[in-house]
Amino acid sequence: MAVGDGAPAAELGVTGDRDEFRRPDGRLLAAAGAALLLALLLAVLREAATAPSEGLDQIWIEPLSRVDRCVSCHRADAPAFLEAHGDLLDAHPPEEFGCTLCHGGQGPATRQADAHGDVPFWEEPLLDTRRARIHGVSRAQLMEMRCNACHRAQAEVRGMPTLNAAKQQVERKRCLRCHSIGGEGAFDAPDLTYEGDKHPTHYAFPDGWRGPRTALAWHVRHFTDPAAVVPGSAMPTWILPEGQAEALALLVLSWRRLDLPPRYWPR
Amino acid sequence: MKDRRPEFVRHFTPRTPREASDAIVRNFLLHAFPARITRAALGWRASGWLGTIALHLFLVLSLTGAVLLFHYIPSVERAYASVKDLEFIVSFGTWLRATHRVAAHLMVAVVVAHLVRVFLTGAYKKEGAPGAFRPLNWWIGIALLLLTFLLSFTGYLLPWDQLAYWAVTVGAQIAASAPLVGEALRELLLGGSSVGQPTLLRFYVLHCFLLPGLTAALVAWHMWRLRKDGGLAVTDRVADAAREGARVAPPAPGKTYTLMGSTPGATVQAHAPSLLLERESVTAIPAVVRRSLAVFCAVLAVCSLLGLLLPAPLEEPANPAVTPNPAKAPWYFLWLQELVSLLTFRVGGFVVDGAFLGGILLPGVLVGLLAAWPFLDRSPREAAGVWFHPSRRRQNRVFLALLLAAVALMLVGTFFRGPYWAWVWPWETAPPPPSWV
Ligand code: HEC
Ligand code: HEC
Ligand code: HEC
Ligand code: HEC
Ligand code: HEM
Repeated sequence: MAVGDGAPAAELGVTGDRDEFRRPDGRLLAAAGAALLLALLLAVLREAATAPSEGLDQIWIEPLSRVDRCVSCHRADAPAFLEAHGDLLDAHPPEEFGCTLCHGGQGPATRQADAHGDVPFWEEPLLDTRRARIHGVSRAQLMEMRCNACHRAQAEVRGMPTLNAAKQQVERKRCLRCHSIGGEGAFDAPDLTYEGDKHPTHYAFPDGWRGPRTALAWHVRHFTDPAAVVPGSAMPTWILPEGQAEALALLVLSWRRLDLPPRYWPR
Repeated sequence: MKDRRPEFVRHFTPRTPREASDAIVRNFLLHAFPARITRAALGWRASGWLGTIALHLFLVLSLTGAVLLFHYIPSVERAYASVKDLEFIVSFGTWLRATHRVAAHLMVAVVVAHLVRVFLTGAYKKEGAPGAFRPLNWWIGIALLLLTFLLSFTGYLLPWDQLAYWAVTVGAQIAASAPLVGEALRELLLGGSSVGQPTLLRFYVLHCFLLPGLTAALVAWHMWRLRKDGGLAVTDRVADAAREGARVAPPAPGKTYTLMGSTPGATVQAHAPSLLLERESVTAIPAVVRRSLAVFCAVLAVCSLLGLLLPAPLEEPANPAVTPNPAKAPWYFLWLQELVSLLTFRVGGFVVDGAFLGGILLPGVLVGLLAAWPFLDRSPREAAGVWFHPSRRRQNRVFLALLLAAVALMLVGTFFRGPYWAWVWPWETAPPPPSWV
């Protein structure tokens, strides 16, 4: 045993049994190491459990900087897919249009609840059968709201019967007598050009509101009875045929600002 | 005994104190440690090791942050999407993000706890061994506290979600309420008159490069000062006790494990308590090195586990048209936000500006008081390095009362404030916000 400067090493608590910190710190180190391994293991397990079972696939739409990973679960070449979309695919090829422009939902997500937008903080949920039903419309009707964000300038589009009818109502009821849309019309009532962009938290729901607290339900009620949601409203009350309040509500909600290159605007 | 470990593993088992201390001086990483340390300073009681824990949290943040840097895009169009990608497709991205977030919250809490420890033990006191001047380290510490807040605040903006956007908007409003320089300050902070791309770029550079670099530099200075001050303040008390008990051998000449450098008048060797305290101390290798490693692993483990349990929030994309109601500051600023709202009121036609009083004046006064405290504290030198020394009873009480008040306001802000900052009970759940469909 070497003794550098006279003092026996053991006496100074350096080596051997006199290293009083060895056991408690060794134990802490072991516990921390075990906890770290556990964390790693759990992280790996979670990573494996949340990955899409079919592997990851995506449609990256370069000109829009959008990504839709729906195709991880819904193959765009499956027979059911081709059947559901029919000749829509000719004018809107999925590799250029993705999915969420028509369907809503959270494109980048890879887990079902996230992708279908059934999570807090995602504002454009999937327009699915359930959401359609609580508003008393069909899924196809609900989706027309999205079709018309692009097709708003056309009076008549195949595959959009509900909104085609609503557009006729707007002509017939002469909304532009009071409202303005795209700079046309009068300015006695709110501008409706981008009515669909009005944030849901900016709607006033009257006390005792029944039914879903959604902008769509608000508009349906407003078209049936304006004064019921906006006390003293100067908007006329019409006796609308069955389903027309819903159609008008879907129409005004489709009027949204979309920042798209020309290729994505129908002629 | 023959060493059986394979030769390519570098290993080192000092056989003598001299070898142990030589190693400290020779090795770049190890030379941050002292050669010897008193058992009192090494123990958990003196410091709770809170400073070291804060340092290790900073390391965890730097490590996780460095990986996040490879994925994050500091552009208002793509920042949010890049964070979503971290959540959804980057391997272990969710965990990485959550761990970074948890470590950030913990670091704020631990740095404050460290300050509280230093205060309650009077470890900032100016009366020390010759050549020691602990107030300087206390001031570096205050700068580190402010840097910790700034790091946290700048990181808050990066995801570019509603939480981020409005927290920074509120923060900028408070900065703008400063007299005379307010508007200029806001412009400087935001790079414009509202939160936008210039703000994001500024906060990105600050958060990822400038502030961490500054923090690392100040931490190094903090550690260097700690050595110049002769170790933790508790060491001085151990030295007193040793002197009184006359158990000390006269300073032995020719030792190599001394503090480096010298002070005017006398060499540090002659006064360094650690030299007088051979029996009260152990060599840093292995005791300090091993315990530091253990603490680092524990910190890393706690952050990783919490990172699995507590996902980092990501709200809606930033939307200037939609103000969340209420827009709450992060928890460690909530007591100030609460004060801002309490101090904003109307006397006749005159509106008292709570943003200035609660957001600028009061924090400014508090930081000023903290900085001046080593010179306002008139307790004897024996009070340094001792928990709750009787001579410091009154100041400790006032300090703790202020701390408790801040914590109480934080709790109020977290659990009892609803829309328009009105009082709500935690069990009064607001209806879910309306949606489009
Ligand atoms: C992790 C797998 C997964 C991902 C990713 C996913 N889905 Fe689905 N989706 C499903 C499953 C499973 C169903 C059928 C079960 C159900 O109806 O709940 C479904 C059902 C649907 C339906 C019919 C629902 C209805 O009731 O009307 C639509 C439409 C749909 N998905 C669209 C999308 C779109 C658009 C995306 C991308 C934003 C997407 N999905 C992403 C798994 C997924
Ligand atoms: C041009 C608009 C459009 C695009 C783009 C589009 N879809 Fe559809 N999709 C529709 C319409 C319309 C329906 C039929 C809705 C109905 O009739 O209820 C539909 C139906 C579906 C259904 C439901 C099938 C069922 O039987 O319930 C799924 C799933 C679906 N689409 C997935 C996708 C995915 C995945 C993509 C992207 C690769 C995509 N869609 C792209 C318009 C579109
Ligand atoms: C992102 C914008 C966009 C969305 C959303 C969209 N379309 Fe189109 N649509 C287009 C464009 C662009 C064309 C023209 C394509 C071309 O000329 O190649 C088109 C063409 C069409 C056509 C054929 C041309 C015509 O006028 O007869 C039909 C039918 C059609 N869309 C129906 C729909 C329906 C139904 C939906 C909703 C399910 C929908 N579109 C959603 C952009 C969109
Ligand atoms: C006689 C004038 C008048 C006519 C005609 C009229 N509105 Fe209105 N509208 C108003 C006034 C006034 C308001 C504001 C009070 C309210 O919200 O009820 C309003 C409100 C609205 C709103 C709610 C705007 C908001 O964001 O609060 C919508 C949507 C709307 N009108 C749609 C229509 C549509 C669609 C038509 C045609 C079918 C129409 N209006 C015809 C006067 C009119
Ligand atoms: C980034 C934040 C900080 C880091 C990483 C850090 C790190 C450390 C470390 C490792 C120590 C050694 C003792 C211990 O572990 O407690 C220490 C001591 C000390 N710190 Fe800090 N610190 C930070 C912030 C602060 C703050 C906010 C203050 C007070 C304003 C402060 C004041 C001091 C003082 C005075 C000492 C000497 C204590 C003594 O002599 O007992 N530090 N610091």
